[in-house]
Amino acid sequence: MRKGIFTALLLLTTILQTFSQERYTVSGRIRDVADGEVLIGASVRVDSLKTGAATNEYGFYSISLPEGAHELEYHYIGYQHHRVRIRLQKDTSITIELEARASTLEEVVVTAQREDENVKSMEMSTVKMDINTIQKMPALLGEVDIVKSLQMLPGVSSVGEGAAGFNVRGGGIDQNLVLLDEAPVYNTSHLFGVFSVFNPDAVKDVKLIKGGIPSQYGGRISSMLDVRMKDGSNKKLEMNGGIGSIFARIAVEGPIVKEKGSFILAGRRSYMDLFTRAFIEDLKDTRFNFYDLTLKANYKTGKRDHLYLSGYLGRDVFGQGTDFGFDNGNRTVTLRWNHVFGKKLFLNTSAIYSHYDYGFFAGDIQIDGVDWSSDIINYSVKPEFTWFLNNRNTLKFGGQGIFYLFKPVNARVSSGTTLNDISMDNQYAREGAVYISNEQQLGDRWMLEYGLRYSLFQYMGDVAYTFADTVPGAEKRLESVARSDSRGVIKSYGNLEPRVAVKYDTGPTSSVKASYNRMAQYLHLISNTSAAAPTDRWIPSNNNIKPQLADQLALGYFRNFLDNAWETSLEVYYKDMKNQIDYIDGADLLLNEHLDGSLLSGKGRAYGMELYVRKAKGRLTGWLSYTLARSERKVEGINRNNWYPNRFDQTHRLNLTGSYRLNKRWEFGANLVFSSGTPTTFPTNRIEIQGYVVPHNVYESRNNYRIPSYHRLDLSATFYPKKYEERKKWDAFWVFSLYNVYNRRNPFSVFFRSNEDHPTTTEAIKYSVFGSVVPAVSFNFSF
Amino acid sequence: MIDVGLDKGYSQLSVDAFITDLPGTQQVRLTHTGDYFHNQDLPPALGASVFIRDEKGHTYSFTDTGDTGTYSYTPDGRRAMVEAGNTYTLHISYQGEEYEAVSTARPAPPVDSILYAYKGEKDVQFEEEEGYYASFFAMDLPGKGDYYWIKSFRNGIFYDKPAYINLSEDGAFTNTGLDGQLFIEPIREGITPWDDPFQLGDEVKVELHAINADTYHFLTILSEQTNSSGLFDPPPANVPTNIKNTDPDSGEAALGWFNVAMVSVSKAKIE
Repeated sequence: MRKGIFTALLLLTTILQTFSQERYTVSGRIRDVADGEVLIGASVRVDSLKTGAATNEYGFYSISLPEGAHELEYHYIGYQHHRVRIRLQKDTSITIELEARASTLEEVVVTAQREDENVKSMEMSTVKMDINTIQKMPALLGEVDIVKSLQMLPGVSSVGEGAAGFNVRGGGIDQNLVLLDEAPVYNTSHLFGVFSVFNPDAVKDVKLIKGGIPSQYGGRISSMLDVRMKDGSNKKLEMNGGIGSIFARIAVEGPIVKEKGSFILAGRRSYMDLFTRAFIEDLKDTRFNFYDLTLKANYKTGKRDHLYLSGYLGRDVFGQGTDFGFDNGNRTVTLRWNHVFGKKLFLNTSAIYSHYDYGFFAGDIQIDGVDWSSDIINYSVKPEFTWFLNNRNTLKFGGQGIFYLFKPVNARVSSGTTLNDISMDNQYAREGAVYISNEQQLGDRWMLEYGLRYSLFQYMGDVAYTFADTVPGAEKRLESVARSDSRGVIKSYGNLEPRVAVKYDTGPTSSVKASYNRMAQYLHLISNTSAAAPTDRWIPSNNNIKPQLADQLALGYFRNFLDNAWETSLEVYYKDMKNQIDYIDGADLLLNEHLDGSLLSGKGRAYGMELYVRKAKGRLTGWLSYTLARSERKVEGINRNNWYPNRFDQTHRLNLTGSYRLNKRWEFGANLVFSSGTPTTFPTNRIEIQGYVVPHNVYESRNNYRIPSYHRLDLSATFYPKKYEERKKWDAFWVFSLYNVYNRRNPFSVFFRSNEDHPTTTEAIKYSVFGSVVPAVSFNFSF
Repeated sequence: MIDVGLDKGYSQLSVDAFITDLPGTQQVRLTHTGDYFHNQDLPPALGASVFIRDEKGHTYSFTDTGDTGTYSYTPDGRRAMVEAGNTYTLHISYQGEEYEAVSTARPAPPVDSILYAYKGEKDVQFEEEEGYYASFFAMDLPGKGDYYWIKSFRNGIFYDKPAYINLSEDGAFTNTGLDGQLFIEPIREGITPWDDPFQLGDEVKVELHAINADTYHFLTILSEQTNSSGLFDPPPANVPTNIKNTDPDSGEAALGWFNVAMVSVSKAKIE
């Protein structure tokens, strides 16, 4: 410990030493000239001093330079760079607007600028996708989808086509922290997983961190998905929208006060039900739709202050008149305040509300009915400081406080005319975290990032159950119940989460990066089915359920070729996971006060190699990603206590995606996807009980077989009609797509059953979600 | 449907012993488990000694007269074998191994009535077929912890598909906490399959079996494991067993289940 303090002091001294020179700060924001959107991760460089800085999530940068004349160069991928000459005599504020490079034939010209962010930055195991890239990829039913696009990247997978959520480096879907403008999103799916909840019209960019996760993020052990919404144009009123096979979309954006504030309001809704209801009399009472609304507004209240308000509301609705209904969805609100102290200290404070719920009813609650709802609600405050200490050190520190309210089941059921309340107790918890980290340049070639996060979680009741130990795999017997509505702390967990990363430049266009991080997770999604369902609920850690912990080591080599036209990386990782949740056979997860007694705890490990090759420039762009991976579990009471592969484990995963710009009218896209089959459990024997043929595995194996592998080709063509281009006020394009071109019936799962007509004859059934080629057309416009 | 190869297992003794207080012969079926895809009758376990002893010391011998693996006992009519609250132990001696299982008979509430209504073209929803949809009416017994298996028959033939398995805890679904009330509507209506409802002239028969708590758990898993749909299935798992080898050190284990249930029956004719 004393040695640690000494090292910290030594580092601090080197940091402070750089203060002695006479230096001034240049700070400001980097924006898009067209609509005033701030650019995240844009860079400013002073080549003569071999120094530079990048903008943070709010487009803010700060760089410290010695007194005198300098030439500053501003860069952002896909934008023309911009040079500014200054004579620095005092702290100076410079806000720059960059212009997007014309996206037509000029792209073929190889520019002289260095787009080597992937090699030079500290980040590893991180992928960023801008919405333009996502929009060019062929999509299922022509609907641009952020979560599906992520699955084209190395290390990201899904248990099967159409399943909710995504898996990162062998982690479960609940181990990803999904943030929409900093608000956690508890369910990322519309229609059980066929579409994701993010409206692409309102999204600016997407960043997924799989490893080397910086200290400011915590709460999930596998990854962090940061979805940032557009701010809206602060120059002029714009409207864009479209009609696809599923959604009708419309978005309006524009200035509130020119150059000072802007807004965007985007909505989309599935419209299938409107058609069917109009034409089919029998379906007029049928409800079947999903929609989402996204709103964001920002306003610059002063030279140093900027306010942002973001909101999201999404809903899936199914039902039949007054017979039954089901609906579920997320809603989030984020209020953010950016403040710059002096020239070097940037503060963002966010206040966040997030709520996921589902509900259903059947029949009439007065006579023979049920109505049911389940909610998870959280309120959170998050102050985060970025201190651009000097050109060699950027300090980040801050904290977060979260209050959780769980309403696991709020329900009434009637039988005859007797009404019963069958609700379960509400649960309360709070989570707090503080962190500090520093990104430090050491010499010309080394860069370090080191930080520490401390998280604390407190379960506050109302109820705590104690269980007796039993044989592994059996339900634990309830020993005692303690109930109190005083909201006192029943169980506390604290975790120190160190995060370290190092980068070494091995050459002008190559680097080696390594990282270690520890993550703690206090919320768990209770889901025991092959695909997660919207009725799966989140539960807090408590006196029985320990927080999940993960340690991850990652090592990577990054190299660009041909003037950064080709970006490549090769990474390996190893992840060790503790307190992973599993379930006894036949566990009731829906309405079980003693759920903890049906849970098992085990450990997990995941390891793999990821190769990524991207062509970033030219008429033809795209990437290839290959993942070789393993994700396993060991749980007392399952698979005779031996390691077994997770249900979403895929040995090989190969994705190829490309887009080719033929001319001003046409652009073509293709995806080619291959993945090894996921594991499942096959029986060995059969038993007959009361005439039912029951499968049985004498070895008590779990996931002892692989279903057939998955592969698919998608094609798309985008057409830009001439007339709109000439009119200039209008812009429009058509997207034609074919999903699963060669019509493969890809398996989602293989299961066993008795033949419908001959119960003693058994058969294996291959289940496919999309069993055929899916064509689609969408029309998109903006003006 | 696809062809898949399976790991080779080994055969084990399997016991199928659901004893009731229904009049007539009671059966215990002993078989050897077979390969999962071996679509033929399971090989019978012959030459076993099978008897049930209750806590009052009465013994009921089950005999396999035709060498079919089905061991039967027919009550002589002087005294009922199954009585409420009585605990029964099944004993099996087979190939030098001794097996035992225990179950307690629990009373079943009466089925008060069966009602039915016709659903025509206008009334059916989704995949429902047209026909007569029957419901049974019964009150759960007072006191929590009553478990039921509701079996439905058309013209004496059991609706035997796994999808039709109809189970209830205290007249409702699992863990609702309801007690002593009318069985809830989905269970009342569960006696009519949506894809094969009753037709004019049919006889509806409902048997309400009062089963043990662990039998309810067993049948719940059996139902889950035989009703896979592909997308939202729990992980494949073995059904549990309550058949124990009396020698804990023996390597031979048996599978299957023993339950003693009291049953109430009601019938109605669709007219």
